[in-house]
Amino acid sequence: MEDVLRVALVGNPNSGKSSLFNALTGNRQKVGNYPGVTVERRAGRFEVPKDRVVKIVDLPGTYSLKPHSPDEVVTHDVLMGTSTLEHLPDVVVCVIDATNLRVHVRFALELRSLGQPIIIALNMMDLASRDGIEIDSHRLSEELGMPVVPTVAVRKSGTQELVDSFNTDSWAALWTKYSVPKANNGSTPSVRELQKEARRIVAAVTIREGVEHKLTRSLDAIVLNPIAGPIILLSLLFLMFQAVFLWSEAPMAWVDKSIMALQHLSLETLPEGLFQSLVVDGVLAGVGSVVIFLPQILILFAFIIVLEASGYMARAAFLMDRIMTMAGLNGRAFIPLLSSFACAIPGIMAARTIDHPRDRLTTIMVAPLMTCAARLPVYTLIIAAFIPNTVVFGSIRLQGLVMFGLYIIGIVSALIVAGVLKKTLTKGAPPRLLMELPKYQVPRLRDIVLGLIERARLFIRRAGTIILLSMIILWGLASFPAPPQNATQPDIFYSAAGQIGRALEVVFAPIGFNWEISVALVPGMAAREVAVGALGTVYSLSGSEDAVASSLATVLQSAWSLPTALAFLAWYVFAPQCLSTLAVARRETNSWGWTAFMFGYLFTLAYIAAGATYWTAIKLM
Amino acid sequence: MTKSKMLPLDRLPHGLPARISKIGEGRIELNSAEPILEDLLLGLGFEEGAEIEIRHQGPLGGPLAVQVDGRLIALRPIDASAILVETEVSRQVSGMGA
Repeated sequence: MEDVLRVALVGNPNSGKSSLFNALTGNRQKVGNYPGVTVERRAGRFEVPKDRVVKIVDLPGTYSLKPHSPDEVVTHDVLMGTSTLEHLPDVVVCVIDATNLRVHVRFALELRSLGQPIIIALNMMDLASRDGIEIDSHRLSEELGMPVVPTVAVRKSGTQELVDSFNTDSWAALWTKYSVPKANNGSTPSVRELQKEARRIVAAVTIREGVEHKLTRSLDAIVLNPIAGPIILLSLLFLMFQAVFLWSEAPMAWVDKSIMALQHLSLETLPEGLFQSLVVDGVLAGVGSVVIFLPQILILFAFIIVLEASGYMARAAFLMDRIMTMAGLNGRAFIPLLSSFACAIPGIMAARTIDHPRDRLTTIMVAPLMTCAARLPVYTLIIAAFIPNTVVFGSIRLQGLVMFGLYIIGIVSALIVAGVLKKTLTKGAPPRLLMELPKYQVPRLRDIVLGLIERARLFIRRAGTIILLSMIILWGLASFPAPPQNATQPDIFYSAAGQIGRALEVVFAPIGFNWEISVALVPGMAAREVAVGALGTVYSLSGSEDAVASSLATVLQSAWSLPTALAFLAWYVFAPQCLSTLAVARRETNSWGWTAFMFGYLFTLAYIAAGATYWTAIKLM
Repeated sequence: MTKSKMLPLDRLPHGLPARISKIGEGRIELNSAEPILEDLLLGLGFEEGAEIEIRHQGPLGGPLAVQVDGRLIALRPIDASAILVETEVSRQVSGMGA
């Protein structure tokens, strides 16, 4: 029989818990979700000598065992053994930050009342010695009555002792030396008693007190300055978006070339006919139009991960709090909303860190208004086709300005919608902001790489499943039924897709959309960027062979009027066109009502904005 | 001349070291509807007797960043007002006019 040891990592946020988890499991980790409660579940496994498998789970960070947020509820329930989502662990590894012993020791003392075997991972020992802190870990172990293992999660060697303690032999030795703490049901000591005890222990085990982290203090003097701070924040955001567009050019060209090469290969090797058309026009064109945005998404996420891991994100929330409060949001909403520029899905999921339910709901509701990367293909296509790239002022060009404007419209709308929601549906006292501004750290390459691999995996899986499927369905709808013998219109006009599009045209004609756009909006429901692929399919199938070869932008220039193009852009600022976002919103709010509300208000705004743009443009021209 | 003075945290001048004397009995009384604030503050390391100092404030009257127990914690002035602190106040400025 397999010998399994279940280990749960617990600790305060910012204790270096996730880095320790990454160091222990490397790429043998699985990131998923707890069913129903939508808290991220990070689990991994590794083997130790004598055929023992260590199954390790990284529980959400918490400051105490009193559950306040959904994340903390999961941790609480798992440790209490009342969770239906996770086994009761055989051992709890409590990660404590050596540079900030007092609060962390208090948490370890709180854990003791659970009556489970606990190992203390005294983490960030390298940072502690850099700050001049010296801790007697043997004395700490005696005082707590728990094994204490010094760890440095940055270095692989820094976790070896912890891994070794899981070996069958050393494991047995460990628990003859230490006894499992007794559970004291009901009579949990008060936080103040625990604080007192923690203070005593820390005084006893500290050989030398450190000096305050100097780098953090001097950086904060600039970064949190009321004038320099916001300027730095804006510059960082500007740099981030510049990078997303500039750095991605070369890799996007590679992806484009590879897709085209595959299309040529398919045209040459596959027999002409339906299957060839499915592969070239349906699968490759459709999925290719989505995969090409992988570089942009990865660059954006790299920035977000680095800002988060360096300790800057919390500062950004601090600087933005007042402005966010004016809009009825919370400084913490800044992070989810910033992530939503990459994709609303991680953004909505990041809203879990907002412990106030109403605030969280408002943030979720407006997250889709942030211009996500999936809208970029649509924006890029239409702007390139219809907006002249004239110089407006200095090095600022009209195309860039329009793109920037679309982002701004999204942000301003989000602030207005949030403000309105706070005064109506999510009314109530202003919720609080209470968070730690962690010490600055140089982000670890391993953590960044693992984070990016995870994002890339999710994105490619989406491209390979929901987007692939919708492209095949669309191709089917666009190809059948075949046109009659005496066809006067393009083939697609007679197809099922054409018929659906023409039926929808009744709804969309007043805002300037033709039947081709209406057709593209249908598969665009699966994911926004699919609309570009869909337009490609619609127009390449509806034109001659030459149309397939010529770029979509050129086709659109002759097929659409400028007011229609602008209306289409306006539509995309608001359109609720992403089933995955709606699915995540449903899961996170746990309410069909709020999901329907999100869809409804976004659709209404999109329709009004597109209509207003169309008719204004007509009047002006 | 110095004198010990009690005041709510949000009234503490920036950069002036102080000690927490009571949590939940500052300018706003914590009522039963808000038992969570006290929990959260205690969990973050606010405790009676701890040294505390205001380091920064966000723009436009934003949140305060206070150094407490080796940690930098952000909280809004309204919540800070629930913490009563004790500090040595220099009297020389007010004494000048006499």
